[in-house]
Amino acid sequence: MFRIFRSLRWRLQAWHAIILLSVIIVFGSLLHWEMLRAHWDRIDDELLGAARILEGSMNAVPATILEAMAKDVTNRSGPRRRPPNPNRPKRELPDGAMQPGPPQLERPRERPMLDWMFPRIAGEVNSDRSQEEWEATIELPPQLPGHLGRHDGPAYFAIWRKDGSILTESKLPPGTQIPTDSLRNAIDRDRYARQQRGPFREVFIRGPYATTICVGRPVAVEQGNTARMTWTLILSGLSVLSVGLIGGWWFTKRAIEPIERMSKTAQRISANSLTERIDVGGCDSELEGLGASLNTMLDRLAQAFEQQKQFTADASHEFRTPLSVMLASSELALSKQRTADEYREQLTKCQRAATRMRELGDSMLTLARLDANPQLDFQLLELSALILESIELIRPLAQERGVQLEVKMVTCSVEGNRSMLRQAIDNLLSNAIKYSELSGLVSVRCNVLENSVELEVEDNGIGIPESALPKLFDRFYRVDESRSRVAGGTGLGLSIVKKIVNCHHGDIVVTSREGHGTSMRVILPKKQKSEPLT
Amino acid sequence: MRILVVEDEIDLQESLAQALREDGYAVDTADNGEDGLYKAKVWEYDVIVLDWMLPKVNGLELLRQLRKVKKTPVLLLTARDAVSDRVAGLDEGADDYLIKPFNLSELLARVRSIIRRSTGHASNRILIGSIEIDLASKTVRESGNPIELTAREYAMLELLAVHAGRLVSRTMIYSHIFDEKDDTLSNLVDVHISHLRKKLGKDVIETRRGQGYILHV
Repeated sequence: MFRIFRSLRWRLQAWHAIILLSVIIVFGSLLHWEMLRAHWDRIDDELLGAARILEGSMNAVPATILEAMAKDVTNRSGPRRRPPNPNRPKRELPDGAMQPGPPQLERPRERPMLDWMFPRIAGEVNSDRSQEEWEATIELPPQLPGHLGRHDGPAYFAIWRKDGSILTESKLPPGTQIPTDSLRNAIDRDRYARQQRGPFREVFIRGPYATTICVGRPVAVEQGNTARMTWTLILSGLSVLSVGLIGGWWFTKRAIEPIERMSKTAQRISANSLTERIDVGGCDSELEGLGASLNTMLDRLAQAFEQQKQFTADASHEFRTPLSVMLASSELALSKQRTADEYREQLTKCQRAATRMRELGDSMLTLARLDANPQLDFQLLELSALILESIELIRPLAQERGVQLEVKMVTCSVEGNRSMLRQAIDNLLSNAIKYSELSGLVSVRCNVLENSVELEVEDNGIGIPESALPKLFDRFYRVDESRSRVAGGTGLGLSIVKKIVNCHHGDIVVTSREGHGTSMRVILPKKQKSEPLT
Repeated sequence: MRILVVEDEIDLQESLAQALREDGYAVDTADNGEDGLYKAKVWEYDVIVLDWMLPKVNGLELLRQLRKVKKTPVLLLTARDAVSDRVAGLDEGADDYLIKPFNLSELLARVRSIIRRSTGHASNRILIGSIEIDLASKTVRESGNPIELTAREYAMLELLAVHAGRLVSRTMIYSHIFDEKDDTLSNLVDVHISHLRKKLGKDVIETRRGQGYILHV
C-alpha cells in the first residue's frame, strides 16, 4: 500500500505538489489580501472624504456670514451678524457634490490668515459660542449625494452628539447605532474608524463639539465583486496547480524512464548474459554517466568472469590429463591377471599422476590464497640466506639435469614473508633449471639497490620467444606444451611468483632471447608499507 | 588391425598402446603431432587415436593435414569438453570424440565401432559359412564349436573376414597385422595362413599366387 510512496517518482511528485501548492497559497493569499485592502481602502477613503466634507461643513461659516464678511472688509465696517436661517434653501453644487464650506476657510491651515483678516469673526466662529448656538448655525444636507453608492442605494450619514443623541441624520438603514466603545477608541487613536456591518460599510470620525460623524453606504455589489475576485484567484490557482502537477508528472516520468530502463536491463543481466549493456542513448548527462560507469563495471565483471571461466576450464583440463592416466593404467592393470612387475609399472604411473595432481592442487590453493589478498606476516629476512637454502634444496635436480649453479651474492636483508619468498625463489630456480640445456649454467645474483634489493636468476637455456612474453605470467600458460610435459610443472609457477612479488609491492622483469637464455629479475622494496594491499 | 596412438603424455600413451595390443591390434605410437602426421601419412592405419593438445602440430591441425590426403578413421581424445570444441573436432574430420578422462573399455568399444563402420559391417558378428567371428570378444566358432586361435592368427582371420570375398594382398596383411616394431619375415604370413587352414578347413582361404588371399563367403 505505502510502497508506491517510496517510489522516487511519487516522492518527487509529492514534493513538487507541496511546494507548488504552498507557493500558490502564499502568493494568492498575499495578492487577495492586498486587492481586498485596496478595494476597501478606496471605499473607505470615499466615505472618509464624505465624512470630512460633513465635518467641514459643520465647521464652516455659513455663506451669508462670509458674504457679510466680504462686504465688511470692503467697507471697513464691522461685520453684521446674520442670524442663521433654517429655511434657507440648501445649496447644491451643479455636479451634485455635497455642499462644502469654502475650502480656503478650513481652520487649521487658514487660521492665521483668517485671524489677520477677520479677527472678530474668527473669534466668534471659533470658540465663543455654545454648542446650541453652534448647532443652530450648521446646515447639513438631508442626505448625501447619491453617487457615493453607485448601485446599492444612497449613502447615508448620522451625527451623534457627545451624549449619544442624534444631532442629525439622513435616511438610515435599520440597525445603525452609535459606535461602540472599541470603535470610539479606534477613532481616538487613528482619527477615524471603519466597520463592516452586514452589507453596509461605515466610517466614523469626530466632529466639532465631540460629535461623532458616521458615513456609510451599502456595499453588496462590492462584496459580490470581492467574492468573485476570490473565486477567480482560487480557480486560477487551482488551474496553475494542475498544469504544474501534470507538467511535473511528465517531467518526472521523463527523468525516471531511463532509470527504469536501466533497471530492467540490469535485471536481465546475469552471469550468463554479461554481454548485454545498458543503453545510454537519449539519457541526461548524469544518467548517461551512471550508465557508462555501470557498463564499464559490467565490462570488468565480464572480463573477470571470462578469466574465471578460463581458469576453471584450464584447471579442469590440467586435472583431466593425470586423471586419465590413472584411469587408463588402473583399468589396464585390472583387466587381467598380471605379473608383479606389470602391476608395479602401472602403479608407478598412477603415483606419478597423483603426485602431479597434488602439485596442481597445491599450486591452485596457493594462488587462491594469494588472490584473497591475505594479510601477510612480514618480517626482516636475510634474502641471501633464503636463496642459499633454496639452492641447497634444488641442487639434486640441477645435478640430475647436469646443470651448473653459480651464485654471486652480497648479504642483504629485506622485509617480507618467509615462506612466500622461499616459494618464489624455489619456483624461479626450478624453472631456470628445467629450461636449461644439458650442462647449462644457472646464475643467481643478489644486489642491494637504494631502497630495494634485486634478485636475478639467469639461465642460458632455451629462452622464451618474444611473442610468449606478455602471456608468460598467465595461469596455465605454457610456452611449449611438449617441453613442460617432459619437465613437469603445473603451468602456475610463474603466476605464483608474480603474485608473491606483487604482494610484497615488488616487481618482476623478464628479459629473454630465444635459444640464448632467460633472465628473471625480481625487485623487492626493503621496507614494506604498513597499509594492506588492495 | 593396425592403430596409431598419437599422445604426448607418455604414461597414457603407453597404457593405451598396451591395452590396444592386448586387444589384438598392431599399435604404433607417436608423442608429437609432427611425428604422428608423418606416420599417419605413410602407413595404412585402421584407426588413429589422436590427442588434441599436442606439441609441434596440434591434433586438429594434424587432422586437417591428414584429411587432405587420407580418410583414415580418427578417434579424437581431448580434455576439452565444451560443445563448441566437440563440434570443431568432428567438423574437422574426426570420426568419433572421447573426452578425458575415459574408460579403457569405452575407448576399445569405440575403436571397434569405428573399424566396423569403416569396413561396412553393422554388427560385431561376422558369419562366413559355418564360421562365426565375434569381433568384440575376439572369438571364433565353427558350427558352434569354439576354435582356439593365437592373437596373430585371429588378427589375420579378422582382416580376411572384414574384407571377405575380396582379395587381401600380402602388403595389406603386413601393414595391418604387424606394427612398426615387428621385425617379421615374409613367410610368417604363410605360416599363419597354414595354421588357420588346419583349424578352419582347407578350402576356407584361397591363395592367389603372387597376389594374396581371399576368404570365400
